[in-house]
Amino acid sequence: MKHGTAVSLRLAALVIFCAGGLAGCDNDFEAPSQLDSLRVLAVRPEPASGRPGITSKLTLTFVDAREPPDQAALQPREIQIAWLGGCHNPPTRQYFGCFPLLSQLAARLSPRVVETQTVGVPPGFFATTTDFEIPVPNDILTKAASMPGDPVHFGVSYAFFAVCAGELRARPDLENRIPLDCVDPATGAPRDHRDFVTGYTSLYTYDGFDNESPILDGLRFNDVAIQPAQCENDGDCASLRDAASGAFDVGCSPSHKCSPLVPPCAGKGCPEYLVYPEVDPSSAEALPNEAATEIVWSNYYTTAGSFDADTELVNDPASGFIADHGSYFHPPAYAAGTVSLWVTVHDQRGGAAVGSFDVLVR
Amino acid sequence: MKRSLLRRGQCVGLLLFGFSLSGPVRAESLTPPPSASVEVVPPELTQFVEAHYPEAAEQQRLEADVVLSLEIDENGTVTRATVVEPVANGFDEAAQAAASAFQFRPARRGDRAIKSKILYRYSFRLRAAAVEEKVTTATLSLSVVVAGGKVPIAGAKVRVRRGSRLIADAVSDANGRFQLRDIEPGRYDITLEADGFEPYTVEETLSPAEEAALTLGLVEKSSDTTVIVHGERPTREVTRRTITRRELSLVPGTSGDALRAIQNLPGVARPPALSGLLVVRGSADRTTPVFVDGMWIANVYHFGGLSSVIPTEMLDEINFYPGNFSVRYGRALGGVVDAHFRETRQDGRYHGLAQVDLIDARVLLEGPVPGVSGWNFIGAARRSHVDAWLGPLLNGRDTYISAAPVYYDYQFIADHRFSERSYIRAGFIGYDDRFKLISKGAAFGGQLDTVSATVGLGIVYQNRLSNKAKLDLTFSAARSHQHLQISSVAFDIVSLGMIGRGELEYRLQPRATLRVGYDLLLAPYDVTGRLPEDAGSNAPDVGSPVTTPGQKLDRNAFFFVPAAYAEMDMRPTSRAQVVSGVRYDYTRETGRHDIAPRLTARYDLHSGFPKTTLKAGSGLFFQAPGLIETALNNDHSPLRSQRSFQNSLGVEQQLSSQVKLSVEGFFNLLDNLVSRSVDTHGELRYNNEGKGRIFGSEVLLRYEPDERFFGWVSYTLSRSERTWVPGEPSHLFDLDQTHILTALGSYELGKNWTLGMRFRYVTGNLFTPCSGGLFSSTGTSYLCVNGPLNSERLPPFHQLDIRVDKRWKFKDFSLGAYLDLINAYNRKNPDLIQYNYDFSASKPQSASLPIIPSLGLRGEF
Repeated sequence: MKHGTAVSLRLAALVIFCAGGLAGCDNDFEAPSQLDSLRVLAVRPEPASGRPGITSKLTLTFVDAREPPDQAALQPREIQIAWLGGCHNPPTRQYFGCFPLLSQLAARLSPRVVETQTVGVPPGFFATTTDFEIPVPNDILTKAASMPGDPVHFGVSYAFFAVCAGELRARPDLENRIPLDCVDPATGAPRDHRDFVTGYTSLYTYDGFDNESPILDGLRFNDVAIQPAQCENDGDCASLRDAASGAFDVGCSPSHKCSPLVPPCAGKGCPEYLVYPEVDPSSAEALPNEAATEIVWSNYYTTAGSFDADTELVNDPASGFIADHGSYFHPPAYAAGTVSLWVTVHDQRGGAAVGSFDVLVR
Repeated sequence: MKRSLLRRGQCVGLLLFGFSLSGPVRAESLTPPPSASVEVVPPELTQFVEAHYPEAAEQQRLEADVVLSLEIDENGTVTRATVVEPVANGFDEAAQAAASAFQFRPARRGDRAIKSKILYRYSFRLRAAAVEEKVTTATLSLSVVVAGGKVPIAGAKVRVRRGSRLIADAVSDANGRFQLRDIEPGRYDITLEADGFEPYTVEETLSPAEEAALTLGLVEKSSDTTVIVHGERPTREVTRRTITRRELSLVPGTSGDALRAIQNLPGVARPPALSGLLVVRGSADRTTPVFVDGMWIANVYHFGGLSSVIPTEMLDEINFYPGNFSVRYGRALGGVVDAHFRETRQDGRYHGLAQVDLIDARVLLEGPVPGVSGWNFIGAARRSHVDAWLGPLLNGRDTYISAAPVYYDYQFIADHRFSERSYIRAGFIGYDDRFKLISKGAAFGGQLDTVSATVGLGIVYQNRLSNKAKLDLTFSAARSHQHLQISSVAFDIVSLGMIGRGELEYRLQPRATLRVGYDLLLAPYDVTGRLPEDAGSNAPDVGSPVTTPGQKLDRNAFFFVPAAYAEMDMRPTSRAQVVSGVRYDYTRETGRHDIAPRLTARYDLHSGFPKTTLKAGSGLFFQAPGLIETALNNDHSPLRSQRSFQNSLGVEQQLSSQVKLSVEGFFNLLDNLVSRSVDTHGELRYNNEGKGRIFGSEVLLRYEPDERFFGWVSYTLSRSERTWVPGEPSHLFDLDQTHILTALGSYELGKNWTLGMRFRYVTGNLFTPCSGGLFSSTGTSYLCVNGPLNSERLPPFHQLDIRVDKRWKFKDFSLGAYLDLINAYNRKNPDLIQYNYDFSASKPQSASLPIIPSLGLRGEF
């Protein structure tokens, strides 16, 4: 075996050990499920895989959970978004093979990125909204490299995004990363990771195979299905309260949605509430030309309190569907008011589904 | 076998009688003048004692004659020795001391023994002079000691035969010594016997003018923790480091595991925690093969490097060649570890042991094969019991153990000595590691499933065809199954590795020996699996290994690498040794022919005590690409063998009879390393464009085992660089460690208590820092935005291990207990950098073991 492969696999095993809680691998960093900054949670492609000649629409889900410096200013911060695309079958088939192209694109952008005129720009190269369309070239498969060991012939398209709580600036001089910066519009000072997220998503086009996003049928809170219901006050939420049957109380949120109502709690012995995404088992499709189903997992996020697990496996390629894939929510120790809970479900080929609801902590 | 080139004083004793010699040299009787009618017979020397040649004088190449006056009583004992003509430089005292121990047949007057006084000239002559005089006889000096130390055995029976002719039948003196002088060159069989010790026979061939000084260790009949210690014979390699079994079993921090003790020698890097890697002189893992009786041991360490797969009790010794090894070995860019099973005990009794410690339990049984005359066996088995305590530790709400971590191994060998000349050993070994864990909390599917299982058989046959020729044959076949699955990434390698080796050694002249041999490897293999798509050498982080389609492996073929070699071992002078050889390898999978010339030389700058030896070596070493690389490259131009041009230069300095210092510098150039980069079509391809260089020096200050103490200090200073893509600047190799210091010692306190300590200091491992994070929505995780490659280091590693052994001896058995206190001051040595989810914060993280008192119990009979 190649040295690097051997070492990386052994270290991967070590990482899994750490994930398993082996003594000595303690982790006292803030959990990824804690939303207290600008975060991108998911990019949902529709359809979840490409085909020559079709267009796939990408929808970006982000949350700005960073408290504004001035508590009185409760207006949401202005968030700028930019997409860069047009990269298909790059060298090495990896995302970083697109960086030279991105530099060329950045050179054509206005210094203030959102001021770039999109008129005349071919689709799939640039956008400033949460949605972005990738037109899959007709020759995506014929121009794709064929490597020994490929389980299926495929092409790949990449789209890059930047989400900024500030002002996006073009940086065509940056050749080995996404060539965009996020700065304070007043001072020009760069924003840090709490206000600026860059990333990418990949869209695979398989020769003769498609991928579907996971099917999220709904969310359950302590085994009670969350029903969308409008309200003016707590009394309007009787139907959800009846469904809860005492598992939790229900209140009306400031956004006029009937939401679970739980008390704040500190210390040991606090109640925990199971948040459970109802994932259709058929979401785990068979991998092309392989005797295994795809991996499906769910991620959990909250703006206050915590989750017992940030990630839960929904389908294991070897052992199959895992029904016990929920995560326990622990309310915060203070009356946080409206707490937003998010659940995203993903498959290993880029498919995604997103769900959320509010919990009232008072 | 020790063959000292030390020049001993050439002691030429001469009785000088006034009756027979003129001048002032005469013997004078103190008795009344004899009457004319009674004949006076002068005393006659019956036991000569060799004087110690003064070291300072020897260093200055001084020779001298000391004239002594000896007074001899009626029993022939020297009652007084007086220097008549002092010559200084230590000669007077040495001659006086030696002559005082002379024994004479007393002078006689008629039939009556009488006192006498004679003059005696003791001549000190350097050996070189004797060589120049074309001396055609040889001298054989033996030191009989207790194996594993330097304790002399007095009164040991020594029989020396040449063919069927008995040359000597004597006993060792009070210092365990015995000497045969002026004997014909040729082959001799030496048999040693002593009460309470196993008999031992060894063959030695003497050249004209040679003074062979052999230190032969006898094994106590009731002991299993000692080993026959052969002195150092000039090696075929520049550097061969040999650790005796006693040392191996007592090195602190290894739980008495022999193969783990290798990691304390110069040139061996500290492997990352739980990795079980063997990294030698800055080379990559899996470029230093480990052989046991010629069988290639693919995974020498059990799970996590906790224990090796061969029990210490079955090994004779371990030879470790950090580089510039003989053409006998090939297919390796780094070093070679060559271990051998020991010969079974021949006492006709059964012996056994049972041992249990924190990690595993094992048993061993040894004795005659029932019903088969002349055959003996050793059988052993071991099983870990970490599953009993590690399993519950890992089980949790999101993690559960599907198969608890467990390993076991077993060995059985039987041997037979047809005659003093021929010997055969056959047996089989097996080892197995399994572990399966599912962590639901892993972002990409958390199944970890590993299996490493090997079972093999081997045969060793040795025959001394004549006093000039020797034949060694080995054959081994091992079926190995390696399985690793991490989520949907997995591979299986099933192979049947057959290795046949043969070597014929023929002494062309007294100073020239030719060795020719073959080394065949035939390995049908089947590689299947699914690996993450390789992003290329030094590529940025690509995140979860399962979010790309990956690469399927499915290849069924066979690896055939025949090799032949020839080596000439020349000793142009008694001080010099030049070993030149060439090895030819053919790799069927790649169709490549590799020719590897190698040269090593040793020269004794000072052959007396303290001995000083210069050594140097240079040569080419090849290693074929790995199975997976070959499998993934099968449709493209074959890869070439990876190549290393190794060079070394060093000196060995004897500081005392127990202490030796070895300093060696090395410089290795690597090329044709398998790399992966984008080709002209923009596609990733395997190629041979990787290059590297490794240089550094090693220091070993070693105290050879005596009856109470052994220990060493080893230090390695090195730098290992690689370039994977042409034109890119070189960078430090992943496992480069600038400083590696190990100091260890073991001291027997008395009453069967032994205390040992080991301290290690190693430069922290390299890592590539993350300058930020890039969110991959496909994997729902951040990727590390790499900073400069391998540009930062973890804090240094240091650790103290303490070991206490206690042994109780009874009439027919013994009990032992040890406490191996690993990481005695509970240092948290960082093994990796842990980042938060978006790589905006980091801290060093330790995955090493905390302070662990490992208690072991052992009983043997």
